[in-house]
Amino acid sequence: MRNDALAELLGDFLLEAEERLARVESLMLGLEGMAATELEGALAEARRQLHTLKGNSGMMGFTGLQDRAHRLEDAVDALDPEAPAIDPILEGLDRFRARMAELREGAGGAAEETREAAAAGAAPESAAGEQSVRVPLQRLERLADLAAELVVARHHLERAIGAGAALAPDSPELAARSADLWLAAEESRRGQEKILDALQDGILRLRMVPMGALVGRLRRLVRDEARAAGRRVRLETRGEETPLDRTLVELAGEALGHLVRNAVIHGIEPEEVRHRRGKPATGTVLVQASVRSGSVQIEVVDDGGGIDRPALVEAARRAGIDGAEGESLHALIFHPRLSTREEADLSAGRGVGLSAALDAVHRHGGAIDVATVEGTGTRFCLRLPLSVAIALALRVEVDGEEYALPAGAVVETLALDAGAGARSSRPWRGSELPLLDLGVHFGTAARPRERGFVVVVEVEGVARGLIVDRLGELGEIVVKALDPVAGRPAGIAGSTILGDGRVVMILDAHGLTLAERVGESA
Amino acid sequence: MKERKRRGRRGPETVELEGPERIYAFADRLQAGIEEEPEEKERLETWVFFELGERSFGLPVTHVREILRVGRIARVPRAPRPVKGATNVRGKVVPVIDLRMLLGLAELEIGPESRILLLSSRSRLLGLLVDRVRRVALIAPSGVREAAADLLPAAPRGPLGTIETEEGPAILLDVENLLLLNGPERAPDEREA
Repeated sequence: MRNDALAELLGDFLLEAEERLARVESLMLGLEGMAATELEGALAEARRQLHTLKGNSGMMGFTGLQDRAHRLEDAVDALDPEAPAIDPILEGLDRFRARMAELREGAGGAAEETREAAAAGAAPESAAGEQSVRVPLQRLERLADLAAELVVARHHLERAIGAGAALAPDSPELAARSADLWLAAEESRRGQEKILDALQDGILRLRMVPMGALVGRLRRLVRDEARAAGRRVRLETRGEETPLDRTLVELAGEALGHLVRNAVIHGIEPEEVRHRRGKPATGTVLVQASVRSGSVQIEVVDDGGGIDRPALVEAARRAGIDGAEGESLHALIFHPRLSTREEADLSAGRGVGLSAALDAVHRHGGAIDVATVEGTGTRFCLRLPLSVAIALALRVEVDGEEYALPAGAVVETLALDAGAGARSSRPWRGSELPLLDLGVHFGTAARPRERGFVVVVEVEGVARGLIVDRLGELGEIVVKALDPVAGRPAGIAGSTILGDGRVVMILDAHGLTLAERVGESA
Repeated sequence: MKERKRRGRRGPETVELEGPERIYAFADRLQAGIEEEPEEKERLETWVFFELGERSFGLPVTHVREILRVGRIARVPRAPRPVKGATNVRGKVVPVIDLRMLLGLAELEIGPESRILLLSSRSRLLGLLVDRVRRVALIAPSGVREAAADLLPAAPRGPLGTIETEEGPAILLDVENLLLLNGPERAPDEREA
């Protein structure tokens, strides 16, 4: 349809424009401190990118954007190679992005562009809800090849089955050839399994983007925040090639933005303090990504002053939080009231607050841990599932209902001691482990069971023993979201469909570690 | 005067309910039939009629993508009350809402005649559990009468109206309002009292 085609065209344009803007921004940020010989090349590339952007904007009929790109091109031309003043260009890029965001939402502000476009013979529909992905052709071709291999493998299997079926049951021929036939079938099955694994891997990879896609944004953030706070801060990155699920990129960017800003503003000390402590004048924030046992781990480490717990407790008290002394460092840092206040003070209007970012991370089965050494530095560790589409899960059964528990949170499983179910906790690794009977929690049992198993889960340092009837297999599940009409049931993270077609709920390990026992009050 | 506008020659037609293709084919045929009669001004609408207990209800066919036999429904613990559970519709997890509970009627066991109306709106799919599907029929919007205020006292939103069918009156439901399909994505029990 015409409108679909236009929406797709607009989507493509926005995607490509965003890439070009990011490239120009990274080139501009690199200019500071660049040798004169490299500088010329960088400026030439920036001009080329902007020129193409101008042409594409014009082609879409967005004369406003075309004009902006043109002015940016002029500004790059006018840069003094001796002392490039890039601030106006960065601001220009921001304005360009803001305009694009309006176009993406089809907001009222975009009316002007839409009118222009309409005059030019195009009427772009809102591209909201439509997401596009850029995929190297080579990868698509690889997937097509795998699909073709699968067809061939199926023919092999069919031949083996056909040959067996053609022989009379109980016939001596069948007996003589059964081993061969079985071998052929088994070989074919193994072949198919390998192809399917590669196919699954390839398709999942389509959903992945390298973590490095976020680095440009962070570099800009560090520069702006450090300048505003009067600090000298260097951003170092490692593991930029680490894959990140496409649907988690925004979330990770938001969370990392908060953590990095936090490191620059609260972590890195003023120069004189650093001098006194014998640290280099320029502080370092390291963002390091890696894949660890089925999840992506992104650390934000700073060599600043560490978190001043007494000051944090004092701030919490001022914000009217009761019992701040007894709270964990984690609870204080991510307290909605503290992070909101900070947001309002320092960078109002910059997306969601730190605590909201943490909520979003939890909703996607991730976690943020924190460790700090006073005077030496702080390390935040953001963990996200490697894929939002596939997860490793332990199947458990409670009152005849099966559930899938994400394996990342499972520490160990224990047999339930007779009579222990009714108790609210049991000893575990030198301390008391609070217990939660899942049947009671989910309303399928009136009383905690006396027999069964305890699955110990731990998220962000909080452990809990979940009581279940039976432990099932550990295996990969395909995660499927539940429609919002189902509410957001406490303790349920989503759903999956098992091999036999049954729908099974996925448990929310984080939610369950914090869930109140039925009958307990806040 | 509403009576005068109702079609006399062609009463509501019925069709076997096997799959969406049939329904759409039927709707197309009727549409074509309407266009052959230029003197007929009123645009008829195709609705799906079904029953909860002794009462008849109708939903516009435009929202009903399929009529399914009831398969296995997995419980969704702690979900809002009208949510019966979730079922697998060709690899998609679709929440099933018990229309009886949603309308504040007594709950009933799933029987051999129970069906799930698969509703689709934008990219969402929802199942609506009903006792029995009767037929797909054409109605004339002019024949719709206002519903009595106390017709469905426990329903979250009032019905669109009632209409007289061969078997008696049927209550026309406003599916979008009922399930908040187009509203903010909230659970049906989170609505304001």
